[in-house]
Amino acid sequence: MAGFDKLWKEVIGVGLCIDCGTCVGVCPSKAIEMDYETEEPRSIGKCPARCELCYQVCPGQNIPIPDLERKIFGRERNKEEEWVGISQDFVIGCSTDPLLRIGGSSGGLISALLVYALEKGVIDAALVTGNRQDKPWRVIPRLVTNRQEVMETSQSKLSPVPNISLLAEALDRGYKKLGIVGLPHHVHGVRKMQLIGMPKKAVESIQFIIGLCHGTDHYFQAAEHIVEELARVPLEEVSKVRIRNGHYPGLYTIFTKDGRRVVLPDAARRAHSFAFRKYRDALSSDYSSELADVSMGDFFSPQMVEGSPGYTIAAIRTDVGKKLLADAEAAGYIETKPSNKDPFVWGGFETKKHGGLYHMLERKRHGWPVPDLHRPVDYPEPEPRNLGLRVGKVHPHY
Amino acid sequence: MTGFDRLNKEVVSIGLCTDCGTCAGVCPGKCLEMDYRLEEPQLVKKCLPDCQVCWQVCPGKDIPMLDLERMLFGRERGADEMLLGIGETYSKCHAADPEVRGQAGGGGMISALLIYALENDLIDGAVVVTMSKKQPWVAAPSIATSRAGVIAAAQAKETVVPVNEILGEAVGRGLSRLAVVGLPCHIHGIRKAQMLGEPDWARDKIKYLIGLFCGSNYTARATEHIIGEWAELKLPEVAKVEYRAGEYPGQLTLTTKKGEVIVIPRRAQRNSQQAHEHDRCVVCYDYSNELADISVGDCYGLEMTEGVPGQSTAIVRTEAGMSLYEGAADKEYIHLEPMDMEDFFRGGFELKKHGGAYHIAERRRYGLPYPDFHLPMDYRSLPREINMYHPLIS
Repeated sequence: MAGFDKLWKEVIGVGLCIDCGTCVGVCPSKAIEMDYETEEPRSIGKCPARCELCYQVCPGQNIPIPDLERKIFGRERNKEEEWVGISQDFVIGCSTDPLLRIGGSSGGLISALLVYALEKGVIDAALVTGNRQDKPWRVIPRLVTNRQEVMETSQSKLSPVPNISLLAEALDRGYKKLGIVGLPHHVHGVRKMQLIGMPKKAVESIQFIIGLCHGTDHYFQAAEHIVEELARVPLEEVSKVRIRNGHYPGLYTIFTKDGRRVVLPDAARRAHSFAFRKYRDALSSDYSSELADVSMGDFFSPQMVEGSPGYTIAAIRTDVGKKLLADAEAAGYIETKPSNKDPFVWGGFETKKHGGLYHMLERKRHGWPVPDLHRPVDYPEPEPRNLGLRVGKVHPHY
Repeated sequence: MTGFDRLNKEVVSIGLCTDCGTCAGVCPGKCLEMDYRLEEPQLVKKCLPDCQVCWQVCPGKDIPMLDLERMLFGRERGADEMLLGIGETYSKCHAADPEVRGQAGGGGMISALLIYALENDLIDGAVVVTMSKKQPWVAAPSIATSRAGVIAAAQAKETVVPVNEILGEAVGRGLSRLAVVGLPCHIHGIRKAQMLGEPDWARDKIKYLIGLFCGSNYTARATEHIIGEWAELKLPEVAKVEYRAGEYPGQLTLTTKKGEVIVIPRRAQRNSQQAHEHDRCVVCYDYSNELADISVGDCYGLEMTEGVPGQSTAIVRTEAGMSLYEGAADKEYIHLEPMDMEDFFRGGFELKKHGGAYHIAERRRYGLPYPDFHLPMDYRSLPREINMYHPLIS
């Protein structure tokens, strides 16, 4: 069976594609492309003989967490690391550039690290997520090479996006040192490439992987319903969508071609998004990008209030991640202060680590195809997580 | 194949059980019990020979909406009834009695209708849902035969509950005129039993079906996680769980055995609930309880804000529903004012009529099990006036 046929049979056709784009990014004969209507890959050419690379790197069904941990960290996670994965340190931080900070979702730390890495020659380009020019409410993978492009692509996007599909294009364009910013499944795909060491050139090009904390993903229909139903703006009038516009924590804002801006209340927006949650996303149980070099997310601290300056949390997992942060801080791009594991069990933690496992185990029990994590998991029991309610303070998200 | 084998093969074991409890409630041999952990039926003794009733009435996989409409209304829904089903009257309403209204989550309309029916000898009992006395975080069906019983069951219970499992017991206790309050899946199950004509009491003894609007529902684990994580309590410390306590629209409120009261922020509650959305609810396509005699839900009117007196909205669908509704209004149990049908395209509408339709289409595409509602579905945007600042949303 050709590689893509196998990928189709075991992953895409049974609903396990998570739209990470790794298959497209690694295909040696460029025989796969993303279909932006189904948000899944499709075959556009003939597979090379005996090539199964797309299937081998795909994290839709097969995520060998223990193997990947041994490869990345030299060991598997221990009991204390069950919910957040292996880390050497936790910090909270922000960009020292106020424009990057306010332009980001929280503290602008990822933007600042990318600007640092691009300006200091650590990388030639980074794979990130931006918005489409023709349909600005929809998202698309982008290659960024300078501060301006990093700023254009900042902030959460809330939609599936095949970031890793740009890997081959980045190499074709002559970039030799790449940074990856991705959701947990993008990280899984890249780590699977590194595990088998293929494709060699792509694996060698990757300098670091910044993973995002990730609650839920929604099909593009969610964005269309939000624009058309909640904001009541015809799609063709949209010029820009910013998901966390303005002061922290920011609000979903739709800009129109005639200069209007429509700001949506967060809860109403979320209720609409939820209707179109991606099928495979409900089966995911990695919240904090557990296999990244450094994982980042919003500081969902109960201490945060509306309008506070935003902070980004960072779980420093590998030496690569540690060096990236240390060098960027020494060069004056970012500021950090010590933290602990707590911020990594707030925010979207519940949706992924408890909800994701619940849905995965329910569907497994009922004989449906589910991702295989290669490690024992059970229905999660509730555990207090310092969410702040008992001391009378919760994050504005709630 | 025995009835349960078939039910298990085609519905339960492949993840299509709604946990409505109809199978357990109709089983003539009392062979089925609902498992409150798995939220599915379990066989507890051998099926009766040649009996297929559980499988025939189950709404998990097959919901023949159009056949059921022909039975109920003598016709199928028209083009302008595609999204809310067949309705006669649309209104905003509330219980006239301030005690009844105040106890409820919305306007107390359902409580008032049941009290009217009990006090005026139209029914002997009503199947409702209450929190268990022994385990106050667990919701279970019960039978109310008095005003006090109805008031004790007020407020929505935001988890899946096998309401219909108690039907057999209710009939067994000699109650010969019943009202049932249920979510769309409960009403689908009972209507299928009525269409089948089995058990015979489904037609003879179930007099009124009051349906709740339903945007989504959650496994019982959702409430357990909220108790353990937001309130930082162990389950045995909890004495009372109220999903909509206090001023309109109310909040999830826990009372401990020591008397401490903990109010859960609405978004925190929603977050934990959505993480634990029941798998079968994701693919449900009935928001407004399209086959009930009267469908009742929250009022998502543009004027609704925190702390206003609670309101319900109602769609009266059948003759039985109309007689109950008009009788309750004549005797001043309820107050009503007319509303436009468009005012009902809010609340959980999006989750069911667009989200549900979308997810059914996805599962079909992947060859996964999905329920068949026998209705055309279209999840394209429907620009409409939505109260984005309604307190139940924001």
